[in-house]
Amino acid sequence: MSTIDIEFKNVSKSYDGKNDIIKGIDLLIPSGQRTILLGPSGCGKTTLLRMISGLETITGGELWMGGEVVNRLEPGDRNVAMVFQNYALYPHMTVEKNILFGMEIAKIAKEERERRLVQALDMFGLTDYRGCYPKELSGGQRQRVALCRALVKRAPYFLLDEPLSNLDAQLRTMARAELVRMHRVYLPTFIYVTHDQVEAMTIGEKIVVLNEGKIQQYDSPDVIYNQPKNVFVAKFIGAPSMNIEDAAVDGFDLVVSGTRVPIPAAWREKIGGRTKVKFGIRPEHVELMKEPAGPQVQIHYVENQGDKKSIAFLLDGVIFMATAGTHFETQDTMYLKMDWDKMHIFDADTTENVGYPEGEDRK
Amino acid sequence: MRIRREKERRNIQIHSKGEWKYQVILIVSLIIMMYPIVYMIGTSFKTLSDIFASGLNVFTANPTTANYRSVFVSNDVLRLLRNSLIIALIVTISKIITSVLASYCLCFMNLKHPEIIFGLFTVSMFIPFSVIMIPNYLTLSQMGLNNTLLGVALPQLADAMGIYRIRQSMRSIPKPLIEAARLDNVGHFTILRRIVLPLVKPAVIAMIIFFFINSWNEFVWPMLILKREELYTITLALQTFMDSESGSAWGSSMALATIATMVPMVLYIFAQRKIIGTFMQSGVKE
Amino acid sequence: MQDKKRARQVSGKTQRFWKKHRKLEKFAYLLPSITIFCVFMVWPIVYNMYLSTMEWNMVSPVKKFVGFDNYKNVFSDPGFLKALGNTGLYVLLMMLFCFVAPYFYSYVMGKLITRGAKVYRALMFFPSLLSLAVAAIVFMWLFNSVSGPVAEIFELFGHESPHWFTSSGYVIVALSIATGWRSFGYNLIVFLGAIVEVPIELIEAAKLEKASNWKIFWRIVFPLTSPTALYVFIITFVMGLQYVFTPIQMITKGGPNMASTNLVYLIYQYSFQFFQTGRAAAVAIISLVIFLLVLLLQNRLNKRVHYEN
Repeated sequence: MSTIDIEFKNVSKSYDGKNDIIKGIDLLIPSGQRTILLGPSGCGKTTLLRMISGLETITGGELWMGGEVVNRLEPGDRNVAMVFQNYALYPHMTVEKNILFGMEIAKIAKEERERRLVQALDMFGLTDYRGCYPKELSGGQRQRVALCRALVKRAPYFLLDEPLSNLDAQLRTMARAELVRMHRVYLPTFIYVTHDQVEAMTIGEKIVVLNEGKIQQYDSPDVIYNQPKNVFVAKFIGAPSMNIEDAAVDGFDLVVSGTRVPIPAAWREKIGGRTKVKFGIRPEHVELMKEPAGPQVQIHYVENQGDKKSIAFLLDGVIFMATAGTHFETQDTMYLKMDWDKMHIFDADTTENVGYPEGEDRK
Repeated sequence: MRIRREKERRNIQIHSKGEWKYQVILIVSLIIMMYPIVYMIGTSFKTLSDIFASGLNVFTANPTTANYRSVFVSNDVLRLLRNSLIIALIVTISKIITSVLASYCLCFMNLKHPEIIFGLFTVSMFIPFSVIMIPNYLTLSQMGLNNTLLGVALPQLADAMGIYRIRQSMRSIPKPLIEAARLDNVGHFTILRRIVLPLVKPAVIAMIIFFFINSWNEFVWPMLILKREELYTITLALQTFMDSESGSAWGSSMALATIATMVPMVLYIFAQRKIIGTFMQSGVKE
Repeated sequence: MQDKKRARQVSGKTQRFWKKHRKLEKFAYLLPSITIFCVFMVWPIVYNMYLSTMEWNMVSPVKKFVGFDNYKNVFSDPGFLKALGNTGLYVLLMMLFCFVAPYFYSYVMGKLITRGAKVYRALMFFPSLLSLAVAAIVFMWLFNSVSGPVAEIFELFGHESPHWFTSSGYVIVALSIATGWRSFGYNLIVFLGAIVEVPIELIEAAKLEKASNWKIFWRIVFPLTSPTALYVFIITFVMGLQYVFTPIQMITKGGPNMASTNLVYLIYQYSFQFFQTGRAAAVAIISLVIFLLVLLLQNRLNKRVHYEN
């Protein structure tokens, strides 16, 4: 049913009446999908989520939910379920009471309440903890209780505000899978705020990248990664982040920190008449070799990250990053081989992507 | 908890050297501080000749209840207690309700400038009573509440200190707790009753007792309002013994003072930890 | 969708009412407190200012506007000057008993001893549970110059006890001791709350540098607890101003020969005994101004202390 879409129409928010922290957002979040709001801290992602929940007022534009403007609708009337960053479990209530409280207020029949409770506890393996107080539970268990509490509401909108940020790495991986599983069962419109790009990539069906109160890109994880719309997205997604350098266009060549590269034919029309661009390439698309097959570079430092090595090197005095397998051996001086087909070109002024040649396989 | 114990242990290691000096100072001070109370209770069980004979000794070999019996004859003690109780109950119940409501509003109802309203409440804690004494007396007279128990209670139905302390306690409740309830369509009053009050219970109990004791002990304002002896509170009745330094009323005045003190003492013993805890927590912090 | 509709239907009638009137609801929570404060705190101050410019005997239906005459008369009244001086003495003594002493004791109890602090603080709070009237009557007998315990102690040392409540000088000390004894515990607890918050690590670090307890107090504890100290300072000032009223009224009635009267007692006498309400109001306003000046001065000093540290 399309009426449970969420649509932002030129929505803005300001606390002091002068500076907007949300700047004219237009966004359609389709129902039943896992949408991620991703961005650095202070980008407005949590504010956006809280606007949907009604906990934050909207100072400009319209927010549509379920086919009506909800700007003035109370949080309680929006029929959203929310999982908070610190879970917001009532400390004086047992797990059971925490989960039942909302249903009791909504005057749901007693048997139905019990049925949903048992089902939710079972789904998250919490059946034995029914009578425990939150302080008796581990972080992971608390997080699951918070999910249960939101789930039993059977709300069409499911909002999550960095729900995994307080878990340690191992639990987080498990919890991610659990979230996706839960979504597949109930298919609510699922909106998830995070600053962690790995979480965004693994959970999201669509990702909204935000910065400084504006949407930078709204696409599937694949597209976000492979065809970042601008320099911000390109830098923000991927670790280590994309190498981006100013480059000059000289005839049919691109000059990047002293190195001259011929521009592939398919790219020329995208670059058009620009004489200056920003050139980007992901570290995994940079290869270093011992044989002199390309420009010479100096190795700056190497970080072993367990599953891979990231290597910082200097090309004509400018630092670039590359990644390689753990068995890769480095020496002081190496030679560069870039996968030029995988490069990204951004406009030097607007920092927008100039686009990608047709039919190119970017994956 | 573990951290605190660890700190206490470290405290021991560092300070145990010179500690005995401080312990001596404290014990001596404590004896001096407790002496008047013990003296009051002890004297209330002494005969007049005993009082003159016993010097510093607060205890007596022949305790007597004569002083208490004489107080019950000369003053209608039950009536005094009843008057005190009526005022203290009205004041306490009203103060706690108004303080809780105002604190909840200041903390959780998205006021535009809660700190301004709170600041005004706080300032009023420091207004000297002498500045408002005369106008309040006139207001009460105009309302025809002079010489009534209600008149004593009326100006004290709200309390800035109560708002200050209870707000302090409510502020430690994480906001998302309230927001989670708002999302579940829980009304403010239900949030207050089912979520906020259980979480600030220690502070509320401490304030209830604090309000009650304060009202029970009050002297100046009842003195201005209550002129008829049948309306006297137990605290006010103490002034009837002050006519002379002659000493004839020595024992019986101590008996009435002891009776007046019993109620606060029992309440304190009952909730000592909560009271001390609340006052300690809510010192001014930057 | 169904859930949503139902949720809206079932939300109670009262709740719907408050939702429509969101502003009204906030107001309803604040209204009781605000009403009481306005009627019995704010309005009285304004009305007091008005009264201070009137000549009135509290009962007559007519008040006569006299401008600043009340203030002029008050300042030329030797009784007022006496009361002003006495008030200064009371405040000074109360600062000693209820600011300096509890600060010292809370430091000792909070940081210098390892056991017994909880017992001490529970017991030392005890006198604060008593009514000032009880404190007054107990100390009246304690200081009884014929056979009170204090007189007995003087006798032990072969001295004759001063007549505490009938000789000027002594009377202020005695009344201050009674009031201070009763109010010490409360301030102690407030100080203690601030002092236990001072991280023990800081004190340990100072100990390692062989700093004396005295130095630790001035260099670490005092700067970190100065907001609380300011608060206690203010309430002690208010105490010095008005708490002594109860013992004065009960024991000395301002005597002997005004030796124990203070500003608040003077206000009471002007208004309720001499029926010079305008004058009483003027004294009240003067006491308020003095209080505000002290606040301002203290605030200045406090800021400088912070600055220097």
